[in-house]
Amino acid sequence: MSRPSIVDDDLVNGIRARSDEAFAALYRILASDLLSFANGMLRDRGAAEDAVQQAFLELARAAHTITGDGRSLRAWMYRSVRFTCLDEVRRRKRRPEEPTDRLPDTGRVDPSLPDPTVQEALMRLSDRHRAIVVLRHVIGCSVDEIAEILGTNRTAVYAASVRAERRLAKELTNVEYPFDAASQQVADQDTTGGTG
Amino acid sequence: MKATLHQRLADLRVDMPAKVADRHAAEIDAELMHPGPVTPPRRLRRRWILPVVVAAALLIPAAAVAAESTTPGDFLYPVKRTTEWVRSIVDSTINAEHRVDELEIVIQRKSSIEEVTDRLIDAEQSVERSDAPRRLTDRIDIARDEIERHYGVHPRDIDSGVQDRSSQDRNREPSDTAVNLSSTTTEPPHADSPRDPSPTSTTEPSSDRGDRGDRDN
Repeated sequence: MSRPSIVDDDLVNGIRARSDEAFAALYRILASDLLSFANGMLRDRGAAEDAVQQAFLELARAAHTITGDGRSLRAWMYRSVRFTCLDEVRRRKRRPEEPTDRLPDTGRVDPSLPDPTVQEALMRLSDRHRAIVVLRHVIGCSVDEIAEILGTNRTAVYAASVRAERRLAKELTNVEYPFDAASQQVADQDTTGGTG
Repeated sequence: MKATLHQRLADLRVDMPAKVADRHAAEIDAELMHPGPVTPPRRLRRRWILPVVVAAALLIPAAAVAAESTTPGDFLYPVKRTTEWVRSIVDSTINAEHRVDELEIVIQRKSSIEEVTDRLIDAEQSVERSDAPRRLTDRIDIARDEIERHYGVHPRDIDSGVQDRSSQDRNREPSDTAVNLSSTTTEPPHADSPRDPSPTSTTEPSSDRGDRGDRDN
């Protein structure tokens, strides 16, 4: 698991000044992290790429309104991607049978994506739990960073993270996909309340 | 062993393909060169609708109630006329009754002869247009007597004013009507108002009107 790259204050100032170089540098730093986040939220590579592009376009439009340091800018970008993903999820729920091959339905496993079984289980989590799991275990964000991205506090993120991991292990069990013994143990503890 | 699940999650990380990155870079450069308008988030864009609907739901009935007791010239009087127009769809006498009420109020206030004349014309036209009961016609007759007693204007003169207003342009200035009416008075209520030098009322009062005049004397 890679640690998130740091966005320094000079880069933030360049973004505020709408510098081409600053945007290119920020893209190099954040693009893969944002793509992984969006892909984990949507399980759709094309839509995830569009969400990342949308976030950078929104930043280009609103660059002069950005305040705070590099960490705030990172959180701003993740929030932008998250809102785009949530809009996409809602749109799919409203029109689940949209005839397009770019948007896979949520019940189908795409073999071209890495570890489709885990992604299948991820998609069964709530949007909030899915965001926390992806940010923490795929991107490698700290609890404080996740709290800033989700607009909540550290304790709430930690508690939700524990529940989300348990739920994820349980979902892996329920769909009877191959999983390791530790995941089975966590799932059993969840169903029996830790007494068995 | 729990790290195995975490490792599987970490393996979900993907890298941005160079081809896609080039396409994104071109889009971002174009946006930086020609920035589009900054639009507020969708949730903020529609935030004004609910407060406006709630405010309208509260203010419109409140304005209608507050306008019930208004008289011509008041700020909310147009609101009253609008609500009456709506109510008159159901009950045609409401409009006439309120016009007669207003006529009596302006007479009691001893308003100017122009104002009283306008209200009298409105009241008579409203009564004519609706299926007003007999009592409204009687109230107008009483009001005419009051006008004659307080303003010294003979009802026949007011009749001619009504015909002028109803048959000719409705948008004439109130002072034009006052010219016709005040030309026969001995003490015009507004001596400084412009007047038509030629009296318009030359006919003698009929016997029934004359009787009323005698009774007042």
